[in-house]
Amino acid sequence: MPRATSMLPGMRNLAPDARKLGQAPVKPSWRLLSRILGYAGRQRVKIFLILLFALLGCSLDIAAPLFMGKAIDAMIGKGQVRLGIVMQITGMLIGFYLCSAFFSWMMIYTSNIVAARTAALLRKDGFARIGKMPLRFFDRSSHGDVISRFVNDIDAISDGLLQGLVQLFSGAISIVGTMAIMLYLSWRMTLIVLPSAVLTFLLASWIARMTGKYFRKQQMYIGQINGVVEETFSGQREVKAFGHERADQTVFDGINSKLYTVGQKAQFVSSLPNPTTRLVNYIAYILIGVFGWLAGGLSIGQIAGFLMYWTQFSRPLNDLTNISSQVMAAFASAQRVFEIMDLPEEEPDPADASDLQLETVRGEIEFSQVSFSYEPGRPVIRDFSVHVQPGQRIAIVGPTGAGKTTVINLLMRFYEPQSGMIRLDGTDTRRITRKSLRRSFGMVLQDTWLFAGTIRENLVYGKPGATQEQIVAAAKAVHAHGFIKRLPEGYDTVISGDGGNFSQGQKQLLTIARAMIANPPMLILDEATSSVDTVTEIRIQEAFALLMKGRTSFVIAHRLSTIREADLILVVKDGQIIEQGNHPALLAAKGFYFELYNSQFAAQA
Amino acid sequence: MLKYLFPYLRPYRKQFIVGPSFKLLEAILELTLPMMMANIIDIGILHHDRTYILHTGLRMLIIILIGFGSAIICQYSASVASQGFGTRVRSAIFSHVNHLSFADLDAMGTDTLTTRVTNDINQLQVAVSMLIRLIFRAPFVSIGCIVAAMMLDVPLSVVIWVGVGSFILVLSVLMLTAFPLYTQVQKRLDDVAGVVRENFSGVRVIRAFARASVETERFVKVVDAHASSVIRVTRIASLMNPLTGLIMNLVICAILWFGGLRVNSGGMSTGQIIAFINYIAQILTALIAVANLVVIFTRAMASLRRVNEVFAMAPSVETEEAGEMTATGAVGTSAEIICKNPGAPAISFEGVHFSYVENPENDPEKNALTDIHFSVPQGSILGIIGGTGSGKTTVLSLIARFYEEQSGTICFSGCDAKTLSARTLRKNLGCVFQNPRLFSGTVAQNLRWGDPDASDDELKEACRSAQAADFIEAMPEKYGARIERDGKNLSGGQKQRLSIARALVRRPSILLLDDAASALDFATEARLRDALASLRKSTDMTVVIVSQRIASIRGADQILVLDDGMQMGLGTHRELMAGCETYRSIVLSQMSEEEVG
Repeated sequence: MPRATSMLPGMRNLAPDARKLGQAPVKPSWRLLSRILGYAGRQRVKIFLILLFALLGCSLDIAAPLFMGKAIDAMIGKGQVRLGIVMQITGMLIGFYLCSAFFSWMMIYTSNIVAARTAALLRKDGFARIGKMPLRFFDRSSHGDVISRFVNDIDAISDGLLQGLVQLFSGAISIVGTMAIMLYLSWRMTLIVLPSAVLTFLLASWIARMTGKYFRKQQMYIGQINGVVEETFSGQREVKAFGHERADQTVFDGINSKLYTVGQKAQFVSSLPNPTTRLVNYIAYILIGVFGWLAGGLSIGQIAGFLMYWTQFSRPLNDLTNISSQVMAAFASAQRVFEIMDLPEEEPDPADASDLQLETVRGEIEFSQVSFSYEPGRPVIRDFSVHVQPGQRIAIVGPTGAGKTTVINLLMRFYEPQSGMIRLDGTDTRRITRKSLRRSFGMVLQDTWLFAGTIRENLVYGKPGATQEQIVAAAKAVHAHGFIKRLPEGYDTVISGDGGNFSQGQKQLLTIARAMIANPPMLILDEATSSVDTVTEIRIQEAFALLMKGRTSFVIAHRLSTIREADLILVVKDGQIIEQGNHPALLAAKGFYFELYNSQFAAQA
Repeated sequence: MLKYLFPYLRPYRKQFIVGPSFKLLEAILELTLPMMMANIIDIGILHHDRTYILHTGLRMLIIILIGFGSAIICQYSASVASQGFGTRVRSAIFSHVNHLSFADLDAMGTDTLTTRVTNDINQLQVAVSMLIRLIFRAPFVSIGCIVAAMMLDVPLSVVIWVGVGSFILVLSVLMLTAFPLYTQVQKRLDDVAGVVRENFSGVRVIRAFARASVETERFVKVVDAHASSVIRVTRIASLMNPLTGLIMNLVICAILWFGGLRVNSGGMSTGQIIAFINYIAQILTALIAVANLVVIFTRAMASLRRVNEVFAMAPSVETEEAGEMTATGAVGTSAEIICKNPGAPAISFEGVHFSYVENPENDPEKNALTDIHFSVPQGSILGIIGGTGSGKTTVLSLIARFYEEQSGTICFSGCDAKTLSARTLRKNLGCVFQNPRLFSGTVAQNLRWGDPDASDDELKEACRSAQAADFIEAMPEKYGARIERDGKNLSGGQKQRLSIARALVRRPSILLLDDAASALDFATEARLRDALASLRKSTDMTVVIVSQRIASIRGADQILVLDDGMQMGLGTHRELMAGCETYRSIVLSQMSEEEVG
């Protein structure tokens, strides 16, 4: 399989296995179909009703022209019309058509409901699967592309596949029924026109296969465009600052023009079935008219009936060929959707994994010779060992990129070490449920994440049952209460997506309060207060000191004040702990830490 | 409604004429068929005229072959026009959004913009394609058939008129009811995209707080809301086809009855009745096509409105035309000098007031900045310090012209910023923001955001100054190493250093650093300061540093102290220690008395 060497974001940055996404040819296999039907299958009653309505409606539609033919036969000429028969038949037909319209409406309505609910189910299931994927997936995939699959591709499945299938079914009934009657009217004529039907079908299938190829490519480019759009629109600050608009435009236009080429072909080819089948149908139409009496020995009324039947026969045939391209497009989308859903999940917790009771967690942590790398061949942490007693405050310092955040990733089991073991209260963390392990750490990250909801909702994120007193107490402790009260709606103010209307410092205070409210037995602080001014930071540190009393906490920080108060400082350089100890001890040792500490005065000379 | 999109339709004038015309031709030709069939029956069969039948059949064959060719031409035109239109609009809307101001972007939100650029334009494409293929055909076939029927027999054709009239009535009612519902469907789709996006960007927090199940509930709610709005539309839209069919079938019944009477009275022949019925069948097909067209258009209208909303937003701060750029290079820089006053300060603020919200009475409560004034000589360092929310980043945003001040004057090299083009100004700025953003690509590609024409050596040099060279060289692919979306595979400090390097690649005359060293340890930051100092000496670069750390800005030529948007002090470290209470308290909170020195 050729490597994707194009310069496009989204495709290029997936892990090697994921890069192959979107390259597989579309195979409208039964397996794919049955998977989709599996989602629809939960609405069995409705599906049965659809089929029933289709059957009833079609039968009526099929029977009608027969009677119409009889009525016409009764109109022989001037003064020779048997009005009684005509009236009878007309009355019957009115009844037929009323019922048929009703059934048709019920069928369409119900099938639309089934399609909508199936799409909803697909989305929910897809979301649930994503929830179980390892962090690697989130860090590496193009967000826009995945969103496109959730939004556009699933829409294509419900629009194309399900509607198509219903029409397929009712069309099939029409065709079979009409064919039966035509045979009854004149088997000779039917034989004449049958080849055209077969020809139509063959042509349509061939065209459908061609369009599948184009549709797959089209959806792929749409996903890529989504990726570019999402990244550019959310990175506007840098785009503007670096005047990168034009370069982004070039990338976008590149994908866009590829999309055009593929899309135009796809659309043209997929629109061919219509005129083609029309042509074939008209040929048959002509044949009926010309040879109906000449060769088939039909009466005028019978010819009229036959013509009507032929129209009735060819319409669904026409529809079917139209549907085929829609269905192909839907298959292409289905493949994309299942591709994501089938990616390997995180290894589930072992069956006998213990579920931590937060109140009983003591907070004793041990790393035993842990080694880890994000990518093979690029080790980040090598042979790391440390023993932390409950209630200790551990500061992790060191030059950047030395592996400090990685320690957190491993503690929280966002990533798994390649070798070595991490123990909590003596138990291997791999034998603890991820959920309970993670909840026992209160985490405040560098990256402040808030969701579109009220301040209150964000604050109680880790502890939904928190009371107003608890919320306000935490907010006061971090000095967020002041600015919250000053807002027009106070705690009910809505935070716009990703916290756009708050400053970095305010967001950080909120995330700290959030962690406080969750009241976990252990803490992880990742440079939490770097965006907050030092006056406020001191107050927060006092609050934290209270919080940290008796709780094990890991702090990745650069503030001397934070580091000075730690029980244990881990100095990390190039993935190794090169020094351990508290502040006075390390200074006395006159090692790397000593240098680091003194360098803050170096530039003042 | 179409005023924004019209320029993108115009290049396809030819297709818009050719396509429908050929479809029209096909429709006209098709119209003749029932009549010819009627003749076959009335003349050929009734009079047992074989030759006539065969000749007519042959003529019909030729007609449909020509019709087929016409249809193909039309389909081709439709595909070219609709896809081409869609491509152009996508490109235009992308470019448009890229030039919008922050206020506008915040107001709209990234999610809905993304949906509008893809999903909504898709709907429009489909509409254009359908327009070309059916706009002439369906109404024409209907009208044509009616006319042909009238030619056959006027009194009976009244029935058809009644049928078509009822059809139009039903259609209008349905469409008017469905339109607002379609808008709701698209909006709910936005919400679905939104939740997915949040779950991607916040996955760590969600898992840390073990809130996956809550997020799933949120998603379920949003998806169900979308599904129910779709179903609500369906209740109305699904009536379309059955009702249309019913109306026309009832017309057929009427024709049977009244036609029978007419044949009885000698006004019509049987063959003509059959032709009538044929025409009805064709009208029915055409009307169903119209009905589906209307559904597509109704959806497209909703999308059209959403797309128009984006185009209607006018970029606010871009003053492209104003101001002339001169390109006199100063010693050692390759950047353009912003304007021609060599002795003037690089940046000056005079009596600047700014607020993010509407503030016509200049209410100081609402101001993000009140009465700021300072002047930064070329080649010097300005440090800005203050508490959270004191306005530090706002000052930088004004310098970078992301926003415009409400009153007061900001000058660059003596020229009023309002007379300069924001884009050209930014060419001379190197910006490093809080939480800098990197983009998927290689290290080199990210660095070249600063200057697409930078040579590899220039990249290396910038990285050396930014203290980024060591970790880049340590990676196997070095400058070709891949960076995942937003630099997720780098540590915070590495990201910052890379962003600083990116800004330095630009060889800016003004460097803006917003808390740019917060993730760096003291040693690295000290080396960075040294590197910047020597860079300044050789290139006369002006530096503005915003920081929380006294250590970072202590050596600045001037320090601006802000508190709650107000200027508390301006001067050197010593001056401020002596005369500015706010500054003193900040310093003492970070260092002990003797460390201050």
